[in-house]
Amino acid sequence: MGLLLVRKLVRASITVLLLVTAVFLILRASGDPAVMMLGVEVSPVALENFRDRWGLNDPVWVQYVIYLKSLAQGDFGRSYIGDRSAWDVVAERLPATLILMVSATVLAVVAGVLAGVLAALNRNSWIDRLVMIIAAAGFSAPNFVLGIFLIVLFGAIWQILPTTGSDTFWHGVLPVLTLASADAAVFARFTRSAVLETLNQPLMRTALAKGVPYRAAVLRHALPNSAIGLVTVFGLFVGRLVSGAVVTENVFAWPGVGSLLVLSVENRDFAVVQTIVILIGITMVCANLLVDLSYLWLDPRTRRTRSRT
Amino acid sequence: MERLLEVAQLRVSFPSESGPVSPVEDVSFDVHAGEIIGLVGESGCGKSLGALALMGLAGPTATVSGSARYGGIDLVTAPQKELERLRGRDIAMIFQDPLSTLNPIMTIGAQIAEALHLGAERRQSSQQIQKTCVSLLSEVGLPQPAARLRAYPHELSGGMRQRAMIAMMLAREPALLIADEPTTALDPTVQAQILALLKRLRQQRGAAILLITHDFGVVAQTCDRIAVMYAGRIIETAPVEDIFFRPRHPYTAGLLRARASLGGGERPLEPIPGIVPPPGGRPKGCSFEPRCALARPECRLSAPLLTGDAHKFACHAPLPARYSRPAEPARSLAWPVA
Repeated sequence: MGLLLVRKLVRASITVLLLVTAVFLILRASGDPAVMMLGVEVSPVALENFRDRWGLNDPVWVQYVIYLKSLAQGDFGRSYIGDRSAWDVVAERLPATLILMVSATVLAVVAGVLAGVLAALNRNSWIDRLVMIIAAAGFSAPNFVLGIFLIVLFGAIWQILPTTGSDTFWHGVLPVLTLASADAAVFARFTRSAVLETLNQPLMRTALAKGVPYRAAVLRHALPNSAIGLVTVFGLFVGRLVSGAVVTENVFAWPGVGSLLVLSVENRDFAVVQTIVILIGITMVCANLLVDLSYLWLDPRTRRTRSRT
Repeated sequence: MERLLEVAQLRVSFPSESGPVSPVEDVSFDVHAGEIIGLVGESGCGKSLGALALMGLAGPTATVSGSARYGGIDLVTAPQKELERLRGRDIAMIFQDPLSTLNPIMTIGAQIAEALHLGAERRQSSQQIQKTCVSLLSEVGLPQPAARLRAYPHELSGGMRQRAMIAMMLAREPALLIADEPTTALDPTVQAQILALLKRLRQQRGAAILLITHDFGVVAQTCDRIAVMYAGRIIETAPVEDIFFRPRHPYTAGLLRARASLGGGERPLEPIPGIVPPPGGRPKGCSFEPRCALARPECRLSAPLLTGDAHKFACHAPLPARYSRPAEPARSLAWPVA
């Protein structure tokens, strides 16, 4: 168990290191931050000063080693804009994103699981078809299309909900709805098939044969067994907590990490982009770890078996 | 003898593209209180489905007709609520492979306790429940029963799992236990132990057992009476000695001849030619007619009815009553049972 955890952590760190390296190289190959920050009209001396100031004239591998060194000390570098710590720049945006994503994920899981269970229990009825049609629609509409559709509907035509910013609770409604709809659709589909599968398993027949009422048999026997398969899907959602809202945040001008990422890529603000990517990577890796651990907790068959006599 | 369950003309049909298909066509038999009755037939003849239909578990798409009277209730027409109350309390069922039929993520103890809670008139303390669980598990011969309560199904061997399953189903002291191929997935020695356990439980608790199997060896060492099924119908039913020594239906006789014998190795195996007709493609007359050496013209015209008193059979051309092909004395089938 302990060994397993260590092995998983080592593998996770290698993943993050590879991610950092790739982002580092791609960013340096993609444009000159001096030009992006200062513009093309400034004197070559100013550009040269900027490059000197940020160490951009060093060979790439030297920059890389310096970056890794400071990273190891918990220093994520500094943003070219305002010369602030990149970590601070990202961290102040983080709560907005997390509020959005956590509410959207909770909503998606609750709605998706309920809809999926309902569809499975009423297989081939109108309820099932309705849920699956809505799910297919929610799944196929890209977030920016749905987001703009909602803005037009609630912001322009009915004018009952704000569409930009994050000042009040009401500002969050549309972005959360946008994010949750696609995820809920995915969850509904997976839940439906997982529940249908367990309903047909012999363990369900056994529960009924010993006298458990149908509803209780579904709740106590079928659903917990279906849940095991859903953990992986849930893990994917948790892994996207930081990265999942990039498009939606930009559509609704939500001041989170996602809109910061787009802005920083445009400005070639290396340190900030790298910090965000590392954060996304770590979230993903942690989510995977969580999935593995919850399997151990949920499914006794994955635990090491006790003496078998 | 007191009749516990009277099944008459039980039929189970499913819709299909070419009209309804009935894997179980016409099943009639009685179960007497405290007896072990064997329901024998080749796989696919409808034995399991018929038993599931009795418990109202044939599935949502099945249409069940006929009657199955149990203590003033007709199991075929009873509402689901009523069947729900009946299941586990009056009639319980064990299955072939307890690895897939027990809940893999619940401990053995929790699964037995669930059955006990269902039967309890008022809430029992958890210590009380646990004590009952332990005594149930030791009754079915599970070693270290207290430790086994915390075990998951995959942590037990096949025989242990089947014992745990039996304990769970006996928790509410049903009057009838349906055992659907309970030993098919087990090693022969374990098989004999489980059968001995069923016999012992019948004696101690007086529960009747409907033992479904394709294995004549299993019925020989366990059952009081046998009902032989072929293509969705009961074709012969009689006390166990009559079936083994004086079979009247050619199919029964054929099944007995097709068995490998343990004692007399000199007798060659005689398989029954042909295959069992599928539910959709059964002949109009006797289902066994195409494979029967004794078939007469009338066998093609109408399906024979199950007639007789203690020894019933459904055949237009039965074997003579005196016929006594020494179909393997029952004792040679018995394993040395502890």
